[in-house]
Amino acid sequence: MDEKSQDVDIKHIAGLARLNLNDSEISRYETDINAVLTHAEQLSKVDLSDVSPTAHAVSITNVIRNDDEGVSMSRSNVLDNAPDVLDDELIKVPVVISSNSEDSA
Amino acid sequence: MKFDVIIGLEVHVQVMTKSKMFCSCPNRYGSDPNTLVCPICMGYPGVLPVPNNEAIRKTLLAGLMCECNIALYSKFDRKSYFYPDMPKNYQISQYDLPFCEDGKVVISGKGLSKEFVETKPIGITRIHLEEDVAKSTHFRQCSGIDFNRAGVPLMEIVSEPDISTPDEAYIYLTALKQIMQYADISDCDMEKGQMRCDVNVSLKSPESPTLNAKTEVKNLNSLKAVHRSLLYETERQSEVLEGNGQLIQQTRGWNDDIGETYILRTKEDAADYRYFPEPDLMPVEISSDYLEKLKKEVPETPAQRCARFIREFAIPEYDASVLTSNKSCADYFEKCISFGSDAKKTSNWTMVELLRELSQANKTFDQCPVNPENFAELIKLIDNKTINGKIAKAVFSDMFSSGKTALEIIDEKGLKQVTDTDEILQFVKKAVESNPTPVQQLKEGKSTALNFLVGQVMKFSKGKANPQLASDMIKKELS
Repeated sequence: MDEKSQDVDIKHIAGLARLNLNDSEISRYETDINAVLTHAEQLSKVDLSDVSPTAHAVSITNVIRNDDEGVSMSRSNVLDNAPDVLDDELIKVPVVISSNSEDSA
Repeated sequence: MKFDVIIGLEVHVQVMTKSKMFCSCPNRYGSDPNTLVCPICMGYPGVLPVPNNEAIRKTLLAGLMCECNIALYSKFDRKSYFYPDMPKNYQISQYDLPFCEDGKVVISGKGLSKEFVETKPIGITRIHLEEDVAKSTHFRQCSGIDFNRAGVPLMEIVSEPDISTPDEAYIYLTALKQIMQYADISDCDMEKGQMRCDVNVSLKSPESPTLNAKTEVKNLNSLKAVHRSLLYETERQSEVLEGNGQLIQQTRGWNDDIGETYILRTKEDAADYRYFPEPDLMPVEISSDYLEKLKKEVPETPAQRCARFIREFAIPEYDASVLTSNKSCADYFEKCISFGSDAKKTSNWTMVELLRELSQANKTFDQCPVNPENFAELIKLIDNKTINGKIAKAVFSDMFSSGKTALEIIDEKGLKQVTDTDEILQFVKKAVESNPTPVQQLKEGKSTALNFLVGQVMKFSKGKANPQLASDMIKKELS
Protein backbone atom coordinates (compact mmCIF):
# COMPACT_ATOMS: atom_id res chain seq x y z
CA MET A 1 0.00 0.00 0.00
CA ASP A 2 2.81 2.39 0.78
CA GLU A 3 4.46 1.68 -2.50
CA LYS A 4 4.49 4.80 -4.68
CA SER A 5 3.18 3.70 -8.07
CA GLN A 6 3.27 7.07 -9.83
CA ASP A 7 4.33 10.57 -9.18
CA VAL A 8 1.06 12.29 -8.48
CA ASP A 9 1.04 16.07 -8.38
CA ILE A 10 -1.47 16.53 -5.58
CA LYS A 11 -1.22 20.30 -5.74
CA HIS A 12 -2.20 20.23 -9.42
CA ILE A 13 -5.13 17.87 -8.82
CA ALA A 14 -6.29 19.93 -5.86
CA GLY A 15 -6.06 23.04 -7.99
CA LEU A 16 -8.29 21.48 -10.65
CA ALA A 17 -10.85 20.68 -7.97
CA ARG A 18 -10.48 24.16 -6.46
CA LEU A 19 -9.26 22.70 -3.15
CA ASN A 20 -6.83 24.54 -0.92
CA LEU A 21 -4.75 21.93 0.91
CA ASN A 22 -2.17 22.41 3.66
CA ASP A 23 1.10 20.46 3.75
CA SER A 24 -0.13 17.65 5.98
CA GLU A 25 -3.24 17.20 3.81
CA ILE A 26 -1.07 17.10 0.71
CA SER A 27 1.08 14.32 2.08
CA ARG A 28 -1.98 12.39 3.30
CA TYR A 29 -3.69 12.59 -0.11
CA GLU A 30 -0.46 11.67 -1.83
CA THR A 31 -0.50 8.39 0.07
CA ASP A 32 -4.22 7.82 -0.46
CA ILE A 33 -4.31 8.62 -4.15
CA ASN A 34 -1.24 6.56 -4.83
CA ALA A 35 -2.92 3.64 -3.10
CA VAL A 36 -5.95 4.04 -5.35
CA LEU A 37 -3.73 4.16 -8.42
CA THR A 38 -1.78 1.10 -7.34
CA HIS A 39 -5.05 -0.74 -6.89
CA ALA A 40 -6.26 0.35 -10.31
CA GLU A 41 -2.97 -0.68 -11.84
CA GLN A 42 -3.66 -4.28 -10.94
CA LEU A 43 -6.63 -4.18 -13.30
CA SER A 44 -4.38 -3.38 -16.23
CA LYS A 45 -2.76 -6.79 -15.76
CA VAL A 46 -5.99 -8.61 -16.60
CA ASP A 47 -6.01 -10.08 -20.10
CA LEU A 48 -8.86 -8.35 -21.96
CA SER A 49 -7.94 -9.32 -25.50
CA ASP A 50 -11.26 -11.18 -25.94
CA VAL A 51 -13.41 -8.47 -24.39
CA SER A 52 -14.89 -5.68 -26.48
CA PRO A 53 -14.63 -2.18 -25.04
CA THR A 54 -17.57 -0.77 -23.15
CA ALA A 55 -18.55 2.88 -22.77
CA HIS A 56 -20.65 2.47 -19.67
CA ALA A 57 -20.82 0.31 -16.56
CA VAL A 58 -24.50 -0.43 -17.14
CA SER A 59 -25.45 -2.35 -20.26
CA ILE A 60 -28.64 -0.45 -21.00
CA THR A 61 -28.93 1.94 -23.96
CA ASN A 62 -31.38 4.56 -25.23
CA VAL A 63 -32.93 5.90 -22.07
CA ILE A 64 -34.38 8.93 -23.81
CA ARG A 65 -37.49 11.06 -23.62
CA ASN A 66 -39.86 12.68 -26.11
CA ASP A 67 -39.53 16.40 -26.74
CA ASP A 68 -42.41 17.47 -24.49
CA GLU A 69 -42.48 20.82 -22.76
CA GLY A 70 -43.02 20.75 -18.99
CA VAL A 71 -43.41 23.29 -16.24
CA SER A 72 -40.45 25.20 -14.81
CA MET A 73 -39.91 26.38 -11.25
CA SER A 74 -41.15 29.77 -10.15
CA ARG A 75 -38.46 32.42 -10.25
CA SER A 76 -38.84 33.23 -6.58
CA ASN A 77 -38.03 29.59 -5.74
CA VAL A 78 -35.00 29.70 -8.00
CA LEU A 79 -33.69 32.92 -6.51
CA ASP A 80 -34.38 31.74 -2.93
CA ASN A 81 -31.65 29.16 -3.45
CA ALA A 82 -29.14 31.67 -4.78
CA PRO A 83 -26.51 33.19 -2.47
CA ASP A 84 -27.19 36.66 -3.84
CA VAL A 85 -29.55 38.25 -6.33
CA LEU A 86 -29.41 41.18 -8.75
CA ASP A 87 -32.51 43.26 -9.63
CA ASP A 88 -34.74 40.41 -8.42
CA GLU A 89 -34.02 38.50 -11.61
CA LEU A 90 -30.36 37.53 -12.01
CA ILE A 91 -28.17 35.42 -9.76
CA LYS A 92 -25.34 37.60 -8.53
CA VAL A 93 -21.79 36.23 -8.53
CA PRO A 94 -18.39 37.83 -8.05
CA VAL A 95 -16.72 39.29 -11.14
CA VAL A 96 -15.22 36.38 -13.02
CA ILE A 97 -13.15 38.08 -15.68
CA SER A 98 -12.53 41.72 -16.27
CA SER A 99 -12.84 41.50 -20.04
CA ASN A 100 -16.02 41.69 -22.06
CA SER A 101 -15.93 38.00 -22.91
CA GLU A 102 -19.21 36.32 -22.20
CA ASP A 103 -18.85 32.57 -21.81
CA SER A 104 -16.30 30.12 -20.69
CA ALA A 105 -16.66 26.83 -22.52
CA MET B 1 6.96 37.60 -46.45
CA LYS B 2 3.68 35.99 -47.44
CA PHE B 3 2.38 33.22 -45.18
CA ASP B 4 -0.10 30.43 -45.78
CA VAL B 5 -3.09 30.86 -43.50
CA ILE B 6 -4.63 27.79 -41.90
CA ILE B 7 -8.08 28.23 -40.39
CA GLY B 8 -10.40 25.80 -38.62
CA LEU B 9 -13.81 26.69 -37.21
CA GLU B 10 -15.77 25.46 -34.22
CA VAL B 11 -19.38 26.43 -34.65
CA HIS B 12 -22.00 26.13 -31.92
CA VAL B 13 -25.59 25.84 -33.12
CA GLN B 14 -28.60 25.72 -30.81
CA VAL B 15 -31.01 22.98 -31.83
CA MET B 16 -34.63 24.07 -32.24
CA THR B 17 -36.73 21.90 -29.91
CA LYS B 18 -39.73 22.44 -27.65
CA SER B 19 -37.84 21.46 -24.49
CA LYS B 20 -34.26 21.59 -23.26
CA MET B 21 -31.64 18.86 -23.78
CA PHE B 22 -31.93 16.97 -20.50
CA CYS B 23 -35.08 18.35 -18.85
CA SER B 24 -38.55 19.46 -19.93
CA CYS B 25 -38.05 23.22 -19.38
CA PRO B 26 -39.09 25.16 -22.50
CA ASN B 27 -36.34 25.92 -25.01
CA ARG B 28 -37.32 29.49 -25.73
CA TYR B 29 -35.47 32.78 -26.34
CA GLY B 30 -36.39 36.13 -24.83
CA SER B 31 -38.28 35.13 -21.67
CA ASP B 32 -37.73 36.90 -18.36
CA PRO B 33 -34.44 35.82 -16.76
CA ASN B 34 -34.47 32.65 -14.66
CA THR B 35 -38.06 31.70 -15.45
CA LEU B 36 -37.29 28.67 -17.65
CA VAL B 37 -35.32 26.62 -15.16
CA CYS B 38 -35.74 23.54 -12.97
CA PRO B 39 -33.57 21.50 -10.59
CA ILE B 40 -32.03 19.60 -13.54
CA CYS B 41 -30.81 22.58 -15.58
CA MET B 42 -29.83 24.38 -12.36
CA GLY B 43 -27.64 21.41 -11.51
CA TYR B 44 -29.12 20.66 -8.10
CA PRO B 45 -27.65 17.55 -6.43
CA GLY B 46 -29.38 14.23 -6.97
CA VAL B 47 -31.28 15.03 -10.16
CA LEU B 48 -31.30 12.76 -13.19
CA PRO B 49 -30.97 14.16 -16.72
CA VAL B 50 -32.72 12.37 -19.62
CA PRO B 51 -31.74 13.16 -23.23
CA ASN B 52 -34.21 14.74 -25.65
CA ASN B 53 -34.96 12.41 -28.56
CA GLU B 54 -35.73 15.24 -30.98
CA ALA B 55 -32.42 17.01 -30.28
CA ILE B 56 -30.62 13.77 -31.13
CA ARG B 57 -32.71 13.31 -34.29
CA LYS B 58 -31.91 16.82 -35.50
CA THR B 59 -28.21 16.38 -34.76
CA LEU B 60 -28.17 13.19 -36.84
CA LEU B 61 -30.03 15.04 -39.59
CA ALA B 62 -27.38 17.80 -39.52
CA GLY B 63 -24.75 15.08 -39.80
CA LEU B 64 -26.45 13.50 -42.81
CA MET B 65 -26.78 16.89 -44.54
CA CYS B 66 -23.04 17.44 -43.99
CA GLU B 67 -22.31 13.98 -45.43
CA CYS B 68 -21.02 12.64 -42.08
CA ASN B 69 -20.77 9.06 -40.91
CA ILE B 70 -23.40 8.50 -38.24
CA ALA B 71 -22.24 6.62 -35.15
CA LEU B 72 -24.46 3.63 -34.41
CA TYR B 73 -23.19 3.76 -30.83
CA SER B 74 -22.36 6.95 -29.00
CA LYS B 75 -22.34 8.34 -25.49
CA PHE B 76 -22.22 11.50 -23.43
CA ASP B 77 -19.28 12.65 -21.29
CA ARG B 78 -18.65 15.17 -18.56
CA LYS B 79 -16.39 18.09 -19.35
CA SER B 80 -15.21 19.56 -16.05
CA TYR B 81 -14.60 23.23 -15.52
CA PHE B 82 -15.41 25.87 -12.95
CA TYR B 83 -17.44 28.84 -14.03
CA PRO B 84 -20.70 30.27 -12.67
CA ASP B 85 -22.51 29.63 -15.97
CA MET B 86 -22.50 25.91 -15.14
CA PRO B 87 -23.20 25.19 -11.46
CA LYS B 88 -22.67 21.42 -11.78
CA ASN B 89 -19.02 22.31 -12.49
CA TYR B 90 -19.23 20.15 -15.58
CA GLN B 91 -20.96 20.41 -18.91
CA ILE B 92 -22.55 17.32 -20.42
CA SER B 93 -20.92 16.96 -23.82
CA GLN B 94 -19.50 14.21 -26.03
CA TYR B 95 -15.84 13.29 -26.09
CA ASP B 96 -14.68 10.23 -27.99
CA LEU B 97 -17.94 8.89 -29.43
CA PRO B 98 -19.78 11.85 -31.03
CA PHE B 99 -22.95 11.32 -33.08
CA CYS B 100 -21.46 12.43 -36.41
CA GLU B 101 -17.94 12.29 -37.85
CA ASP B 102 -15.99 12.79 -41.03
CA GLY B 103 -18.23 14.83 -43.31
CA LYS B 104 -17.90 17.81 -45.61
CA VAL B 105 -19.58 20.99 -46.75
CA VAL B 106 -18.85 22.16 -50.28
CA ILE B 107 -18.49 25.93 -50.54
CA SER B 108 -18.38 28.37 -53.45
CA GLY B 109 -19.50 31.90 -54.20
CA LYS B 110 -18.79 35.42 -53.11
CA GLY B 111 -17.18 36.23 -49.77
CA LEU B 112 -17.71 39.31 -47.66
CA SER B 113 -15.02 41.17 -49.64
CA LYS B 114 -16.97 40.32 -52.85
CA GLU B 115 -14.06 38.15 -54.02
CA PHE B 116 -15.24 34.99 -55.77
CA VAL B 117 -14.20 31.72 -54.12
CA GLU B 118 -13.89 28.62 -56.28
CA THR B 119 -15.76 25.45 -55.31
CA LYS B 120 -13.96 23.79 -52.42
CA PRO B 121 -14.89 21.07 -49.94
CA ILE B 122 -14.41 21.91 -46.26
CA GLY B 123 -14.05 18.79 -44.13
CA ILE B 124 -16.23 18.33 -41.06
CA THR B 125 -14.26 16.58 -38.32
CA ARG B 126 -17.25 15.93 -36.07
CA ILE B 127 -20.64 17.12 -34.87
CA HIS B 128 -21.41 16.44 -31.25
CA LEU B 129 -24.31 17.32 -28.99
CA GLU B 130 -24.02 19.06 -25.65
CA GLU B 131 -25.90 21.40 -23.35
CA ASP B 132 -25.66 25.18 -23.61
CA VAL B 133 -24.57 27.11 -20.53
CA ALA B 134 -26.19 30.03 -18.70
CA LYS B 135 -25.84 33.57 -19.96
CA SER B 136 -23.58 35.83 -17.91
CA THR B 137 -23.80 39.58 -17.94
CA HIS B 138 -20.73 41.32 -16.59
CA PHE B 139 -20.93 44.48 -14.53
CA ARG B 140 -18.15 46.49 -12.94
CA GLN B 141 -18.55 45.02 -9.46
CA CYS B 142 -20.19 41.66 -10.14
CA SER B 143 -21.68 39.38 -12.75
CA GLY B 144 -25.33 38.38 -13.18
CA ILE B 145 -26.41 34.92 -14.34
CA ASP B 146 -29.55 33.95 -16.27
CA PHE B 147 -30.07 30.18 -16.47
CA ASN B 148 -32.79 30.18 -19.15
CA ARG B 149 -30.20 29.22 -21.76
CA ALA B 150 -28.56 26.57 -19.56
CA GLY B 151 -29.43 23.14 -20.88
CA VAL B 152 -30.59 24.22 -24.34
CA PRO B 153 -29.46 21.54 -26.84
CA LEU B 154 -26.29 22.74 -28.54
CA MET B 155 -24.44 21.16 -31.45
CA GLU B 156 -20.74 21.75 -31.88
CA ILE B 157 -19.64 21.48 -35.49
CA VAL B 158 -15.87 21.21 -35.84
CA SER B 159 -14.28 21.77 -39.23
CA GLU B 160 -10.97 20.48 -40.52
CA PRO B 161 -8.30 23.19 -40.93
CA ASP B 162 -9.21 23.38 -44.62
CA ILE B 163 -10.08 27.07 -44.68
CA SER B 164 -7.47 29.45 -46.10
CA THR B 165 -9.05 32.92 -46.15
CA PRO B 166 -11.54 35.02 -44.16
CA ASP B 167 -13.82 34.91 -47.23
CA GLU B 168 -13.83 31.12 -47.23
CA ALA B 169 -14.70 31.13 -43.52
CA TYR B 170 -17.55 33.53 -44.25
CA ILE B 171 -18.92 31.38 -47.08
CA TYR B 172 -18.56 28.20 -45.02
CA LEU B 173 -20.54 29.72 -42.15
CA THR B 174 -23.20 30.97 -44.54
CA ALA B 175 -23.46 27.47 -46.04
CA LEU B 176 -23.77 25.88 -42.59
CA LYS B 177 -26.46 28.37 -41.66
CA GLN B 178 -28.42 27.57 -44.82
CA ILE B 179 -28.19 23.83 -44.16
CA MET B 180 -29.52 24.25 -40.62
CA GLN B 181 -32.35 26.48 -41.82
CA TYR B 182 -33.28 24.17 -44.71
CA ALA B 183 -33.68 21.21 -42.36
CA ASP B 184 -35.44 23.20 -39.60
CA ILE B 185 -32.60 22.28 -37.26
CA SER B 186 -31.99 25.86 -36.16
CA ASP B 187 -32.83 29.41 -37.19
CA CYS B 188 -29.14 30.25 -36.63
CA ASP B 189 -29.99 33.81 -35.62
CA MET B 190 -26.58 35.01 -34.50
CA GLU B 191 -27.99 38.05 -32.74
CA LYS B 192 -29.93 35.68 -30.49
CA GLY B 193 -26.84 33.54 -29.95
CA GLN B 194 -28.35 30.61 -31.83
CA MET B 195 -25.12 30.32 -33.79
CA ARG B 196 -21.72 31.20 -32.30
CA CYS B 197 -18.26 30.68 -33.61
CA ASP B 198 -14.71 30.11 -32.38
CA VAL B 199 -11.90 30.31 -34.92
CA ASN B 200 -8.48 28.67 -34.87
CA VAL B 201 -5.87 30.36 -37.00
CA SER B 202 -2.19 29.71 -37.57
CA LEU B 203 0.37 30.74 -40.16
CA LYS B 204 2.91 28.69 -42.04
CA SER B 205 5.70 29.91 -44.26
CA PRO B 206 5.37 28.27 -47.69
CA GLU B 207 8.89 26.78 -47.43
CA SER B 208 8.41 25.27 -44.00
CA PRO B 209 6.50 22.05 -43.29
CA THR B 210 5.58 23.11 -39.74
CA LEU B 211 2.83 25.36 -38.50
CA ASN B 212 3.47 28.23 -36.15
CA ALA B 213 1.61 28.22 -32.83
CA LYS B 214 -2.12 28.71 -33.30
CA THR B 215 -4.47 31.25 -31.80
CA GLU B 216 -8.05 30.47 -30.87
CA VAL B 217 -10.42 33.44 -30.96
CA LYS B 218 -13.56 32.74 -28.94
CA ASN B 219 -17.18 33.86 -29.00
CA LEU B 220 -17.59 35.58 -32.31
CA ASN B 221 -21.25 36.38 -32.73
CA SER B 222 -21.60 37.72 -36.24
CA LEU B 223 -20.34 36.62 -39.65
CA LYS B 224 -18.68 40.00 -39.99
CA ALA B 225 -16.86 39.59 -36.67
CA VAL B 226 -15.51 36.23 -37.87
CA HIS B 227 -14.25 37.84 -41.05
CA ARG B 228 -12.73 40.86 -39.31
CA SER B 229 -11.11 38.89 -36.50
CA LEU B 230 -9.47 36.54 -39.01
CA LEU B 231 -8.06 39.50 -40.96
CA TYR B 232 -6.83 41.03 -37.73
CA GLU B 233 -5.22 37.81 -36.44
CA THR B 234 -3.53 37.04 -39.75
CA GLU B 235 -2.06 40.51 -39.74
CA ARG B 236 -1.04 40.37 -36.08
CA GLN B 237 0.65 36.98 -36.41
CA SER B 238 2.42 38.02 -39.63
CA GLU B 239 3.84 41.07 -37.89
CA VAL B 240 5.16 39.00 -34.98
CA LEU B 241 6.82 36.51 -37.35
CA GLU B 242 8.22 39.19 -39.64
CA GLY B 243 9.76 40.91 -36.63
CA ASN B 244 11.43 37.57 -35.86
CA GLY B 245 9.20 37.17 -32.83
CA GLN B 246 7.93 33.92 -31.42
CA LEU B 247 4.22 33.08 -31.39
CA ILE B 248 2.86 31.17 -28.42
CA GLN B 249 -0.32 29.13 -28.43
CA GLN B 250 -3.07 31.21 -26.90
CA THR B 251 -6.76 31.86 -26.56
CA ARG B 252 -7.95 35.34 -27.42
CA GLY B 253 -11.17 37.30 -27.20
CA TRP B 254 -12.60 39.72 -29.77
CA ASN B 255 -13.48 43.34 -29.12
CA ASP B 256 -15.93 44.23 -31.86
CA ASP B 257 -15.95 47.95 -31.03
CA ILE B 258 -12.26 48.55 -31.59
CA GLY B 259 -11.81 45.61 -34.01
CA GLU B 260 -8.99 43.91 -32.12
CA THR B 261 -8.35 40.59 -30.42
CA TYR B 262 -7.00 40.49 -26.88
CA ILE B 263 -5.33 37.76 -24.88
CA LEU B 264 -7.43 35.56 -22.57
CA ARG B 265 -5.01 32.78 -21.68
CA THR B 266 -1.89 31.03 -22.95
CA LYS B 267 -1.13 27.35 -23.33
CA GLU B 268 0.49 27.15 -19.88
CA ASP B 269 -2.82 27.75 -18.16
CA ALA B 270 -4.91 25.92 -20.74
CA ALA B 271 -8.03 24.30 -19.35
CA ASP B 272 -7.77 20.66 -18.27
CA TYR B 273 -11.28 19.35 -18.84
CA ARG B 274 -10.85 15.80 -17.46
CA TYR B 275 -13.51 14.22 -19.66
CA PHE B 276 -15.06 10.99 -18.45
CA PRO B 277 -18.23 9.06 -19.39
CA GLU B 278 -21.40 10.62 -17.94
CA PRO B 279 -22.58 7.97 -15.46
CA ASP B 280 -26.13 9.39 -15.32
CA LEU B 281 -26.76 8.85 -19.04
CA MET B 282 -26.92 5.57 -20.93
CA PRO B 283 -25.18 5.27 -24.30
CA VAL B 284 -27.30 5.88 -27.40
CA GLU B 285 -27.66 3.16 -30.02
CA ILE B 286 -28.99 4.03 -33.46
CA SER B 287 -30.60 1.12 -35.29
CA SER B 288 -29.95 0.78 -39.00
CA ASP B 289 -33.74 0.90 -39.53
CA TYR B 290 -33.95 4.25 -37.80
CA LEU B 291 -30.99 5.55 -39.77
CA GLU B 292 -32.58 4.48 -43.05
CA LYS B 293 -35.80 6.21 -42.07
CA LEU B 294 -33.86 9.35 -41.18
CA LYS B 295 -32.01 9.35 -44.51
CA LYS B 296 -35.39 9.58 -46.24
CA GLU B 297 -36.21 12.67 -44.17
CA VAL B 298 -33.10 14.54 -45.30
CA PRO B 299 -34.33 17.56 -47.23
CA GLU B 300 -32.80 18.91 -50.41
CA THR B 301 -29.65 20.84 -49.47
CA PRO B 302 -29.22 24.47 -50.61
CA ALA B 303 -26.56 23.33 -53.10
CA GLN B 304 -28.86 20.67 -54.56
CA ARG B 305 -31.72 23.13 -54.82
CA CYS B 306 -29.48 25.68 -56.54
CA ALA B 307 -28.45 23.07 -59.13
CA ARG B 308 -32.08 22.06 -59.66
CA PHE B 309 -33.17 25.71 -60.20
CA ILE B 310 -30.52 26.11 -62.92
CA ARG B 311 -31.60 22.84 -64.56
CA GLU B 312 -35.36 23.10 -64.18
CA PHE B 313 -35.98 26.82 -64.66
CA ALA B 314 -33.03 27.67 -66.92
CA ILE B 315 -32.01 30.66 -64.80
CA PRO B 316 -28.36 31.81 -64.45
CA GLU B 317 -26.21 30.34 -61.69
CA TYR B 318 -26.00 33.73 -60.00
CA ASP B 319 -29.80 33.99 -59.79
CA ALA B 320 -30.13 30.45 -58.50
CA SER B 321 -27.56 30.98 -55.76
CA VAL B 322 -29.17 34.22 -54.59
CA LEU B 323 -32.67 32.71 -54.58
CA THR B 324 -31.64 29.53 -52.74
CA SER B 325 -29.46 31.30 -50.19
CA ASN B 326 -32.58 31.75 -48.11
CA LYS B 327 -35.03 28.85 -47.86
CA SER B 328 -38.16 30.97 -47.66
CA CYS B 329 -36.99 33.02 -50.65
CA ALA B 330 -36.51 29.83 -52.67
CA ASP B 331 -39.93 28.57 -51.52
CA TYR B 332 -41.54 31.87 -52.55
CA PHE B 333 -39.90 31.83 -55.98
CA GLU B 334 -40.93 28.25 -56.67
CA LYS B 335 -44.51 28.99 -55.65
CA CYS B 336 -44.62 31.90 -58.12
CA ILE B 337 -43.41 29.67 -60.92
CA SER B 338 -46.15 27.17 -60.09
CA PHE B 339 -48.64 29.98 -60.85
CA GLY B 340 -47.17 30.23 -64.31
CA SER B 341 -44.96 33.33 -64.29
CA ASP B 342 -41.83 33.41 -66.45
CA ALA B 343 -38.82 32.07 -64.48
CA LYS B 344 -36.17 34.62 -65.47
CA LYS B 345 -38.53 37.59 -65.02
CA THR B 346 -39.73 36.24 -61.67
CA SER B 347 -36.13 35.79 -60.62
CA ASN B 348 -35.24 39.41 -61.54
CA TRP B 349 -38.30 40.77 -59.81
CA THR B 350 -37.67 38.70 -56.70
CA MET B 351 -33.99 39.63 -56.44
CA VAL B 352 -34.47 43.34 -57.10
CA GLU B 353 -37.94 44.68 -56.32
CA LEU B 354 -39.15 42.15 -53.78
CA LEU B 355 -35.92 41.91 -51.79
CA ARG B 356 -35.69 45.71 -51.72
CA GLU B 357 -39.24 46.22 -50.47
CA LEU B 358 -38.77 43.48 -47.86
CA SER B 359 -35.54 44.93 -46.56
CA GLN B 360 -36.97 48.47 -46.47
CA ALA B 361 -39.98 47.22 -44.52
CA ASN B 362 -37.70 45.00 -42.40
CA LYS B 363 -39.90 41.99 -43.19
CA THR B 364 -39.16 38.34 -43.93
CA PHE B 365 -40.62 36.34 -46.83
CA ASP B 366 -43.09 34.75 -44.43
CA GLN B 367 -44.41 38.23 -43.59
CA CYS B 368 -44.54 39.42 -47.20
CA PRO B 369 -47.82 41.30 -47.84
CA VAL B 370 -47.82 40.19 -51.49
CA ASN B 371 -48.43 36.46 -51.82
CA PRO B 372 -46.74 34.39 -54.55
CA GLU B 373 -49.95 34.11 -56.58
CA ASN B 374 -50.37 37.89 -56.81
CA PHE B 375 -46.68 38.40 -57.47
CA ALA B 376 -46.85 35.91 -60.33
CA GLU B 377 -49.93 37.70 -61.69
CA LEU B 378 -48.07 41.02 -61.76
CA ILE B 379 -45.27 39.47 -63.79
CA LYS B 380 -47.76 37.90 -66.18
CA LEU B 381 -49.36 41.34 -66.67
CA ILE B 382 -45.99 42.69 -67.79
CA ASP B 383 -45.49 39.72 -70.08
CA ASN B 384 -48.84 40.14 -71.82
CA LYS B 385 -48.19 43.89 -72.11
CA THR B 386 -51.10 44.98 -69.93
CA ILE B 387 -48.65 47.28 -68.15
CA ASN B 388 -45.07 48.24 -68.93
CA GLY B 389 -42.12 47.54 -66.64
CA LYS B 390 -41.88 51.03 -65.26
CA ILE B 391 -45.52 51.22 -64.23
CA ALA B 392 -45.25 47.69 -62.86
CA LYS B 393 -42.67 48.92 -60.35
CA ALA B 394 -45.06 51.55 -59.06
CA VAL B 395 -47.90 49.02 -59.00
CA PHE B 396 -45.75 46.59 -57.04
CA SER B 397 -44.84 49.23 -54.48
CA ASP B 398 -48.54 49.90 -54.09
CA MET B 399 -49.33 46.18 -53.78
CA PHE B 400 -46.69 45.87 -51.08
CA SER B 401 -48.04 48.71 -48.98
CA SER B 402 -51.78 48.23 -49.58
CA GLY B 403 -52.01 44.44 -49.96
CA LYS B 404 -54.22 44.91 -53.05
CA THR B 405 -53.79 42.83 -56.20
CA ALA B 406 -52.11 44.22 -59.30
CA LEU B 407 -55.35 44.17 -61.31
CA GLU B 408 -57.22 46.11 -58.62
CA ILE B 409 -54.57 48.82 -58.62
CA ILE B 410 -54.35 48.98 -62.42
CA ASP B 411 -58.14 49.35 -62.68
CA GLU B 412 -58.39 51.92 -59.90
CA LYS B 413 -55.66 54.12 -61.30
CA GLY B 414 -56.27 53.50 -64.99
CA LEU B 415 -52.72 52.33 -65.54
CA LYS B 416 -53.41 49.97 -68.38
CA GLN B 417 -50.73 50.26 -71.03
CA VAL B 418 -51.79 52.06 -74.17
CA THR B 419 -51.26 49.78 -77.15
CA ASP B 420 -53.81 51.51 -79.33
CA THR B 421 -51.72 52.85 -82.21
CA ASP B 422 -54.06 55.79 -82.95
CA GLU B 423 -53.73 57.03 -79.41
CA ILE B 424 -49.95 56.64 -79.37
CA LEU B 425 -49.65 58.33 -82.76
CA GLN B 426 -51.05 61.53 -81.23
CA PHE B 427 -48.31 61.52 -78.64
CA VAL B 428 -45.67 60.73 -81.26
CA LYS B 429 -46.76 63.66 -83.43
CA LYS B 430 -46.73 65.97 -80.45
CA ALA B 431 -43.22 64.82 -79.48
CA VAL B 432 -41.86 65.27 -83.00
CA GLU B 433 -43.42 68.72 -83.44
CA SER B 434 -42.19 70.13 -80.16
CA ASN B 435 -38.60 68.81 -80.41
CA PRO B 436 -37.07 69.83 -83.75
CA THR B 437 -33.45 69.52 -82.61
CA PRO B 438 -33.57 65.89 -81.45
CA VAL B 439 -35.58 65.06 -84.55
CA GLN B 440 -32.81 66.52 -86.70
CA GLN B 441 -30.19 64.63 -84.68
CA LEU B 442 -32.07 61.37 -85.10
CA LYS B 443 -32.25 61.92 -88.83
CA GLU B 444 -28.46 62.34 -88.77
CA GLY B 445 -28.17 58.94 -87.12
CA LYS B 446 -27.76 59.88 -83.45
CA SER B 447 -29.56 57.03 -81.68
CA THR B 448 -29.66 58.67 -78.24
CA ALA B 449 -32.08 61.19 -79.71
CA LEU B 450 -34.54 58.34 -80.22
CA ASN B 451 -34.46 57.53 -76.50
CA PHE B 452 -35.22 61.17 -75.76
CA LEU B 453 -38.23 61.19 -78.09
CA VAL B 454 -39.55 57.90 -76.66
CA GLY B 455 -39.20 59.50 -73.25
CA GLN B 456 -41.30 62.42 -74.43
CA VAL B 457 -44.03 60.05 -75.67
CA MET B 458 -43.97 58.27 -72.32
CA LYS B 459 -44.29 61.62 -70.58
CA PHE B 460 -47.26 62.72 -72.67
CA SER B 461 -48.96 59.35 -72.13
CA LYS B 462 -48.27 59.51 -68.38
CA GLY B 463 -46.10 56.42 -68.67
CA LYS B 464 -48.80 54.27 -70.16
CA ALA B 465 -47.61 53.98 -73.75
CA ASN B 466 -45.90 50.78 -74.78
CA PRO B 467 -42.31 52.04 -75.22
CA GLN B 468 -41.42 49.54 -77.95
CA LEU B 469 -44.46 50.56 -79.95
CA ALA B 470 -43.68 54.25 -79.43
CA SER B 471 -40.11 53.75 -80.65
CA ASP B 472 -41.26 51.92 -83.79
CA MET B 473 -43.80 54.60 -84.55
CA ILE B 474 -41.32 57.49 -84.14
CA LYS B 475 -38.98 55.84 -86.62
CA LYS B 476 -41.87 55.29 -89.01
CA GLU B 477 -43.06 58.89 -88.60
CA LEU B 478 -39.62 60.27 -89.52
CA SER B 479 -38.87 57.92 -92.38
